[in-house]
Order: sequence, then C-alpha cells, then structure tokens
Amino acid sequence: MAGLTENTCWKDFVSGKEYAFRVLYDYYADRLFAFGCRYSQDTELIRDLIHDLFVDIHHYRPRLDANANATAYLFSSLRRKIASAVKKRQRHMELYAAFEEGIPFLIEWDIERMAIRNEEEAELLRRVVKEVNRLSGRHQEALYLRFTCELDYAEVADVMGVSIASCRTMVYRAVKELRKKLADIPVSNVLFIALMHSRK
Amino acid sequence: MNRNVEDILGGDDAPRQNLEREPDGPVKKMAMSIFKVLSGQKTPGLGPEDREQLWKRITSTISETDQKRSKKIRWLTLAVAAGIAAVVTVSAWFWLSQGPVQAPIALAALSNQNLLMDTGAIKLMGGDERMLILDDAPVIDLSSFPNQADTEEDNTFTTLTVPYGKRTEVVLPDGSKVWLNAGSQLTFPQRFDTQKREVYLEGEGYFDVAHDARKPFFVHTADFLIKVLGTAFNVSSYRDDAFTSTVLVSGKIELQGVGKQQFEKLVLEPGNTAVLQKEASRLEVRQDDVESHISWTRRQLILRSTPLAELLIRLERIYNTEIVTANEVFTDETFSGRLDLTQPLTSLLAIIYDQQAYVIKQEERRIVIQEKLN
Repeated sequence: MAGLTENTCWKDFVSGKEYAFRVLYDYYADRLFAFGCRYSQDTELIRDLIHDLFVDIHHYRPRLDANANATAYLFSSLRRKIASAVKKRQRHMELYAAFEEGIPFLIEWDIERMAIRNEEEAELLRRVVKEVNRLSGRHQEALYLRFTCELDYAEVADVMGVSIASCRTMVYRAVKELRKKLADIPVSNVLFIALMHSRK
Repeated sequence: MNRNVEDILGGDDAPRQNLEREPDGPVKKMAMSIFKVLSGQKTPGLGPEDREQLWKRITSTISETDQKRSKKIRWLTLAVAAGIAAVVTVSAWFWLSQGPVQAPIALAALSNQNLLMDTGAIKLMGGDERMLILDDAPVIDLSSFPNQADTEEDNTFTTLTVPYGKRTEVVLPDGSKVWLNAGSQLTFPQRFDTQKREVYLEGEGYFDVAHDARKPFFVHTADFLIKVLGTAFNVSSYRDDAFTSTVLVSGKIELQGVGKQQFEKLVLEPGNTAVLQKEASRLEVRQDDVESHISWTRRQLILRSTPLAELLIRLERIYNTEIVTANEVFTDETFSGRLDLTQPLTSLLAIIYDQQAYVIKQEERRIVIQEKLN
C-alpha cells in the first residue's frame, strides 16, 4: 500500500475521504476471501459476505472507530458474518454441539503448495501437517491467523475475541504441543530446510 | 540460554526474523519445518477479474440503499436522561423489533459476539447486526418499556458488550439487574419467553434476579447452565480463564453442566462457591468468602490467596492494559488483601512489585515490569 499504512487509510475512510474506500477494498479483498474460505467452502457465500461487509462499513462509516485496527476489524467482522450465515443454514443443529466448537474452522492443512526439496523433507512436513491437523480448532485458528495471515498478536486477539495475553499463550502452547508430538523424529538426520518463500 | 521451538515461534517479533536469528541446529530445523507448514497455507485470493466484479456489486448496492434509506430512518430512537447519575434509557424495542432471527440463545450469543475493541464503547448489538453505541452509560435500563403485546413469532436476541476497561449495570426487561464486568457480553431476548427467562453470559456478571416463580431465570455459559430460583449470585465465565465459577449470595440456584462438562445437577446454598476447572472437568464446591467475588461491583478487588498470574489477568481486563513481565513470573506467589480499583494501575502494581527490586514502566496501553539489575 504505497507508503500508506492500513490504519491511516482506515482513519481517512472513517473521516469521510472517499478514495480510501477503494484503497481498503483493493488491499483487503483477496486476503479476506482467502481467510473466509477457511470457515466455509462455499465461495459464493464468502463473496456475498465480503460484499455485505463493505456495504456495511460504508453505511456505518460515521459510527466506526477511527482508531481501530483495520485488519483486526475487517477480519473479525467477516468472521462474525460467516458464523451468523452458517448458523442460519444449520438452524436445527444441536444447540451445544454448535457452541462448543465455536465457528467451525475448516482448514485442512496440507503441503500441496509448498516447494519441497526431497522425499525426506516431504516425510517430515507430512508428519508436521498431520500433527497440526490434530490440534484443537482454536489452536489451529490461532496458528493460521498468526503464521499464515501474518497478523500480530493484538490483531489475532481481536479476531478471536480473547485477550492479547491469552492469545500469546495459545500460540505458545500450540507450538509446544507440536514440538512434543514431533519429538520422536531424529531431526539431526533431516536435511536443512531453507525458507522457501520470501516476503512480499 | 537454550531456546525451544515454541520460544522461537511464539515470540512477539515476526517469526521469520526470530528464526533467522537462531543459530543452526536441530531446534532451528524443527522450528523451520513447523514454520514452513504454518506459513505455507496461503490460498489464492479472488483474482483481479472477480475482485473488480465484486467491487461493482458493492458500489451499486451502496447507491441503491442510499436512495431507500432516506425513507427509513425511524428505526432508532434514543432517549437520554442527562444528569450526574445519568440513566440512559434505550428505546431498544423499536430497534429490536426488526429482523427475522429466531435461534436458541447460545447460538444467538455466538453470532452476536462482536469485537471487544481496545477503544470500544459499551455496545448493544441486535440479532440483525444493528449496533447501538452507549458511551459510558452507568446504567442501561431496558425495563421501562412496556412489553409489546404483539404475538409475532419472531423474537430477536440482543448482545450487550462491555469492553475491557469498562463496567456497566443493566436492568433487564423483567426488572432483574445485572452488573457486567470488563470484557463481558450478555445476550438476552427482546422479550422474555412466557415460560422462562434466559440469558447467555460470556465473562463475569453479578445477577440480582427479580422474583417470578412462574418464570424461572436461566443463565447459560459455555460450561454451566444455572437455574435461578430468585436470588443474587456472581458468575465468572471468561473464555480465556481456566475455570468457570459461580458464587451464591442469597436465595437458591441449581447448577448443571453443559456440553463437555457433565456432572450431576447441583443445588447451591448461600455462601457456596462452585468452581469448575475446565480442562480437568473437575467441579469443586466450597464455602467461600462471598465478598471477594462480588467486590468488583464496588470497584474493589478482594484477593484471597490469589495466584499472581490470575491477579495480573484480572488487572489487564479491568484496566484494558497489557502487563508485560520481562522474566517468567508464574511463580507460586499468592496475594491476599483488598485493592482499590479507583487507583491507577501503576500504583497497584507498585504494591505488588517491590520497587527496590523492580522497575515499572508505563507505555501507552502497556506496562512493562523489569527486575532491577544489581
């Protein structure tokens, strides 16, 4: 966002500068779509909800908080809309079964889009993926937001509706659990894995 | 110092930078593999064509609704009684009387759960996602509105959000009073059912329930279902706490597990505190000092062998300020006594942390406590 941070842009938008609406949309549309698809595989639905989200923020603009964190606000609003849409569809669902799980987080972690050097590395990554998929939904969600979406702790906390401290604990515990589950792998034999994708 | 995988990936800095700083070795290799999986899940976005198409839809909806809206402004009327002890009265009925949602209360609570923004105000959110912002209203009175006689089927749920750093008191349509502590959300129907009164609580609330033998009052939480038989009691059910608890001040309540938490129905007597350790699903009932549980309604915090870690979490919520301790402070140290919550947070921390040994630094929404180097 050429020298313009998300939050300044958000401030401009809330204070009524029309250009900022389009800039926000262009910056967030793809990220929100990818994020939304983690909660529902119905891509049409996600499109509709992104549509609603931007119509809403335009409509409620005077009442939005100019100092809010734009990323956290948009992600959590979309998440809430998905929860409510999913709920409407499954209205007769068992009351507490639905509640215990929160919004079902659908990510099925995989290694499909990764550059892998050799079979040995593939083996290791498959093990990691297997263990990540076994973590609790909340833990997976926290890891997804922190590592895949690259949000900071304050943003993850806002999206998930918990305090920053407990969010940090959640990520720490999830990684610790992974580390323990993977302890049986003789890592020293594994080839050194370089970080493949560079930061955009 | 030997860092472990979780220390490398769990840090505040971008994990990638943290990884790069780490010397080579098995720990780094494992951290990198985990990082590679966690960060490598990026999926394609909409793509330029779809993005443009969606943008056109958004702008056309906006221009359409702008035309319609001018006719439809009557949905909200807000009456504010000014004065020192201002009581904000909300004509929520009008506002709430729209929207088709009819869902069990727990689901409504889930969908209404809105962002507890750092700078947020106290908010009311309806089932149709309309939001009403109530700035610093000491009391929100929903009882003075006549129960609408219409027998329309649709009944929406409203969620009252109290962000971290704030507290409020709400009078429900039946006259029951609820004090809500920082970082709490209370969901209730626009009209109470003819058979029973149901609310859903996330966070902490002190309930003073209006007596009505024909309509029992239920408090749902993620772990408990509390059936109230006319009474005053406190419930603490924060999602990020390890426990859910309730303490009965007067009257009688019946407790029942929900979801994973299954235990025999249990009737509490005044002075009883029931504490559920969520992870272990262990329920303990003890005779407790009631005062310490409800002191927050009077802006006090009474501690009885409260572990330091728990105390810090409570202060973070009450003051909406992050407390960062440089060293691991999860010691076994516990605290007893009374803290005056009208004092600034730094003064309270100065009581807890000996200033001979610690430096307390206030940053914006963050307090850093460091051990003095000698």
